[in-house]
Amino acid sequence: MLPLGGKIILLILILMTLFFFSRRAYFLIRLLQQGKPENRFNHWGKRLKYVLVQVFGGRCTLKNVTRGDYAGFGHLLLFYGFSLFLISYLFHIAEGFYEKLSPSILGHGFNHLFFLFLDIAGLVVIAVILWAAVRRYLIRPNRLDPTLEAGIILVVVFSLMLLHYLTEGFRILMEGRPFAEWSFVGIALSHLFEELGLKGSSRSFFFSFWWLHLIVVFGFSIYVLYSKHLHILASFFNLFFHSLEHRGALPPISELDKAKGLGVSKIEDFSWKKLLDLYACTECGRCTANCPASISGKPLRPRDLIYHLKAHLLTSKDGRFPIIPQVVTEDELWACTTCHACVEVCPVDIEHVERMIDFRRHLVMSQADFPSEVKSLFRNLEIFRDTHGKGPSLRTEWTIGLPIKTFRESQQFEILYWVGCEGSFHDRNKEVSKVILKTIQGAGVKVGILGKDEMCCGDPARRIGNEYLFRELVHRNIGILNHYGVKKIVTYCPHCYHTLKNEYPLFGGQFEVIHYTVYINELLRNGRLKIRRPLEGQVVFHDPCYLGRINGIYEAPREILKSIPALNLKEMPLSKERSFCCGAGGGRMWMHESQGERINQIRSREAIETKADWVATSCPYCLTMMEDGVRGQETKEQVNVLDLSEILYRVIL
Amino acid sequence: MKIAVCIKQIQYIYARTGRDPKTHFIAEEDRIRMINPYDELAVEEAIRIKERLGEGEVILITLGDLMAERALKRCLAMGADRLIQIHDPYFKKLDPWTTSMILAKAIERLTPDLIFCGKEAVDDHNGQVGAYLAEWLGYPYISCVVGLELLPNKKAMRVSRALGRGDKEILECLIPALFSVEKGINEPRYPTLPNLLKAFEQKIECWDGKTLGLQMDEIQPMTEVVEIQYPRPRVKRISAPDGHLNGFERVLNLLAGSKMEKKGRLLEGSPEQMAAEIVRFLRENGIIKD
Repeated sequence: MLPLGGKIILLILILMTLFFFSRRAYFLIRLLQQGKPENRFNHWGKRLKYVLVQVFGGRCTLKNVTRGDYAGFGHLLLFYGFSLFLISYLFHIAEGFYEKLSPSILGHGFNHLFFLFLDIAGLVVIAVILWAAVRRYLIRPNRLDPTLEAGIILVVVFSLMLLHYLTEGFRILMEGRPFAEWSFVGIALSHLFEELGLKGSSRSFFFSFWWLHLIVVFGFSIYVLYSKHLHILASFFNLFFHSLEHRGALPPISELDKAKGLGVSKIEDFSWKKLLDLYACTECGRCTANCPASISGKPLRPRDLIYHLKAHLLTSKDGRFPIIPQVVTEDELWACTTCHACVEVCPVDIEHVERMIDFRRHLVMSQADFPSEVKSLFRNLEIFRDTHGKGPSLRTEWTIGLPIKTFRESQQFEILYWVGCEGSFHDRNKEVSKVILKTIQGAGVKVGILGKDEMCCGDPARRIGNEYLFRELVHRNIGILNHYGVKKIVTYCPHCYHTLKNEYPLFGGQFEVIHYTVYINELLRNGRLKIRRPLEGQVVFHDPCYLGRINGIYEAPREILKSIPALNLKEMPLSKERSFCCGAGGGRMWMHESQGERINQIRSREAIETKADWVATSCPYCLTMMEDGVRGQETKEQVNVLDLSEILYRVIL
Repeated sequence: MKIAVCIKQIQYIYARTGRDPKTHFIAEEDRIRMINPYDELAVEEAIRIKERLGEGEVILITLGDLMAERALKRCLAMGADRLIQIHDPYFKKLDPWTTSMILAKAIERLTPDLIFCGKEAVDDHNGQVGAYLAEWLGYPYISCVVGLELLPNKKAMRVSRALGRGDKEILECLIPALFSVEKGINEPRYPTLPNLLKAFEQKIECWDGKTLGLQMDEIQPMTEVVEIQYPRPRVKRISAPDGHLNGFERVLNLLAGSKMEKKGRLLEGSPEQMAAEIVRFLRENGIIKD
């Protein structure tokens, strides 16, 4: 199509684009190589399937549509529309060199259909772009910043669509007959241009738009690597190399005994995957919009944190510059409750929480620098092996007057009831552990406890970053559990549940771990436990993060509540996957909450607004936090915060 | 500046779980072996002085069996340089006098500029060793120290001392001197993991009676514990047994610790629900018939 000179210029343009593109790509990959090795190269089939569903199935953004976030639709349309244009650009370039290399090479039918779809896609993309621009710059939802970068991309994509139609229109006008019969926009435009009397100059118009179109395409493909649109390429790989471990199960430190690999202080301490996360970030802000720390006015903004780390990675020359406190402040990383709300909504599977723990590990173990109120927790765990600092001799105090035996006395038990520190020492939670025990015993299950032999499962130490202390507790607990030959464990606390179930196996502790909600629901289902009377009232269930979002148990507690006649189960606006943290996870239970609003206040307000009589939950931390939160509200409503088991116990007596 | 710190290993517990008075009513498995918390304050203060001066040596001295080795080494990890254990099977039961005598011999060998110890140990609350030790060494002694400052001439210390109820006394004394520290002087640091692991590897120097040049017959306790009396169990308040019962039943009730357990149950729910419950109960127990 082009004369020889034009072909040479086109070739030079292509080579220049390739040069700049690969130079930047090489730079980005070199930066990734700074990171520590991490094996994400297993299960290729599983990973490929995941990527297909997430990227081409659009699940990455559509998963948020059920949560009232409709941007996912637009993104999917944009993705497919623009993908079609990417193919058209190949033809566009190819026909520059040799006329016959147009879609018609694959048959006239294909040619017609291709341009029909391309025209439709262009209109769809334009519509989506306009919507996106209106949303970002006029409606301004909280999570989106009206940045220049986002604007450039919108304008470029919009102009690409426009240039496509202009080129098409003038080409039809120039050639005198449509090269593809169904390219309706192009045909319409050619009539318009003819009306405007541009027929004579159509050839020069066509070629100038043709070149302009290509130059914008080339420029954009380089700009992509310099902008947040890097996610177009990086998120594909990021989703492919996503973690196959259970969500929330932190990776152990292999060289802990040599005091090596203690968290992250410099960017090069991250694994390469954690660095790839930074490239994949689309800056969509969903993490920040759902983060309880951000919402309650703490300095932590997960999106900004990722953005700052990315900027730091791209600008720091050798990666040896300490991240804390210059790039990430201590206030930010101590604010995280490890609730995984950010991880849940992230379209590109960025691993936010592990990153926070990496920073904490560095601060706690290499610097011994942490909020001073945590010191007493660590000392309690070190000396007394529990979070309350009361010692093993008081661990069974809650059982006084109850017919319960420890594994030391007998080993003829169906299950081990793992009470946990909160259930053993905290006055309010002791009541719950009694009720759970009585309920399970009421079903005729032979249940035993470890008593003095039980120690903290290690969750708080681990989430705060004291991996060494955690490992010490884990080894002792696994030793005891194996000593008694424990097979099946029912826990009260979701934190114990998660740690025992998903983290102990990595340390050699293989047990069947069940949360009591699931266990009791099972007892109800198979008739070992019977509900004897109705309970009139309205109850709202608060999902504990470590039960719901992290372990996917949403239905068992609800089934229990629904099985009680006359009881009306309500839902808070934020429930199930979107549940709002109570503010106690990630060791926050033992830290002061001095910045911003209290997270538990926000959540209790939400619970009170449902006008329910009872707020039920199934986590000792949530119970404490919600009770405090409800008490702190100025409200006339009478709301009682109860554990799920306490409600059930009223109707099975 | 050379600083010696005397630290005591204790077995600590909140509750009485055992039945044997000889073991202080503590069941063996419940013993929690730790360093006396006041002594940890002393260690921290010594390390802070060393850090402030930028030079010096902190030497920890403990007397007796290694029953809390990890806790001892944790003190090393906080930043102390040496750990000396004084142990000799010939040491019999030691009272504060003999304890301080042995410690004094050890400290004489070290010739420190400052000596720290805790105000008292939380297991026996004697609080005497510090004072006796100063006496043996002939050094000034200040108890309940809550603040310390080395004067510019580096020959004397300015010390603030807690008098109770928030009052403070400011004293000055020449060094070498001995201070026993009180809560509030500092907040002991948390050792970093690399330091902790290093400390676990460090060897404990062991000195016995011979190293110290002690004549065993010199070690004569001044006091002797004749008997330890434990508090009577707390009186349990119970409601008086039902007067209608006969004597035997009443004694049984008292032995059981309270009156007969209430068998009743509180009804909850709407009035209709509760009424239905009452009717059901009456019917089940044959009080009313259909």
